[in-house]
Amino acid sequence: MKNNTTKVENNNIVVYISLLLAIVLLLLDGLSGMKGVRNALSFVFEPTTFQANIAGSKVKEYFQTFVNLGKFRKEFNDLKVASYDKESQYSNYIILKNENEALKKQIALGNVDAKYVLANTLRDDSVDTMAIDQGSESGLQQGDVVTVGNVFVGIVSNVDFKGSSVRLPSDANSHIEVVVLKPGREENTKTNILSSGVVSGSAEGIKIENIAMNSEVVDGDAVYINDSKVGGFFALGYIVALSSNPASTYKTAFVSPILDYDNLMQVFVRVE
Amino acid sequence: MPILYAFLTCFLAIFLEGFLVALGNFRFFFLLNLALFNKINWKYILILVVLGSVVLDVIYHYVLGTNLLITGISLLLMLGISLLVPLEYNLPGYSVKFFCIFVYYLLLAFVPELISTGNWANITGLMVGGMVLKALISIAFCVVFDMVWSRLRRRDEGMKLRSL
Repeated sequence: MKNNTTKVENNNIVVYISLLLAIVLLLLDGLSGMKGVRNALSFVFEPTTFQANIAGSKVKEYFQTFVNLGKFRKEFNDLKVASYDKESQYSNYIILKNENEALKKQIALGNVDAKYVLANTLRDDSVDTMAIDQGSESGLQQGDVVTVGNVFVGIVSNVDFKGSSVRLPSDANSHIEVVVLKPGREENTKTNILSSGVVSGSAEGIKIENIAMNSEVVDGDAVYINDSKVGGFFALGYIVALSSNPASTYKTAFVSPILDYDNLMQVFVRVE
Repeated sequence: MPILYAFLTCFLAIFLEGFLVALGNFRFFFLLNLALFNKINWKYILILVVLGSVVLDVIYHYVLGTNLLITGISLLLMLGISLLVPLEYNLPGYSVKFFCIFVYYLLLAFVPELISTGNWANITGLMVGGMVLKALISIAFCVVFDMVWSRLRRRDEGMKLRSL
């Protein structure tokens, strides 16, 4: 018990000595300065403290990330909303741009005699037909021709009040008379026609048949629609994979369409 | 040899002080002094307190003796209160320590500037809140330290009995 009391009393001495030493040190540092002691201690301990400080700061930064997690999430959500907003604005711009380009093309090619209805294409699973957002309400009828500029797209096959489906040339039920011309000529007159033919849809693509055996048709020649039920002269595509059977009296080929039907956004329907 | 231990402890404590100050402005060195108070020989405590405080004055660019003064005042306050409330390992004992740590942080907020420039520092409510929080965390450290210390002592006594 006595030992314990002595120990406590001795620890009390630490406090008194500390206070006394503190006052002495304050006076010494204030009056004469203790630069030597300061420099020596600084030389020994500053590098250690510096390294410890750097380590502490790094750990703090790490924990700070968790502390600010809510803020980061909010910022992320705000950015996401802003991004969606921009994306939607961009989509609107693209739609307007496409519409503008389609209109320019239609006007530049001089198709102003007939009446045209601008229609937006709608996505569906079919590859041989195309859905559009205009129907009988806009005056569309079965058999109307669908074009983009001077390029043939298809024929309206089914009309509803507010929508229609268009049969593309790749459809197996599509049979259209065409002519084959040399591409790049200024005036495509009757004398420039290399051959006539019929295009129809098939599983392999748009097939052209009945090309005269003695014609000078080669791969890359242009195919134009020249059918009474279409009633005009529209570009369709280019000859590819031309083949001739010696036993047959005509050549067959496939047509590579000018337009990619999957990427069309706007088309024009010629209403009679 | 014990003096060497005291120096090494001081070195390690200074390192931890630097680390914890950067991490959350925790003053580990005072906490160590408080935790070891009444537990080891007073000479080692004195070496630890004086050497460590002077080193911290140099590191924090205080006037020499500032840290020692703040530590001394805080410990003196603790001794004063301990005349009324015994410093045991229970809630009243730790409450006294909590108050002592809080006073240490409070003094630390204005005494160094007062000594070096003669100006009083502004103490805001947010600062006081931070001091309370730091004192609470420090008390948690004291509790853990006391538990570990008592377990080590028991193991030491057990070994003595076996050797007998």
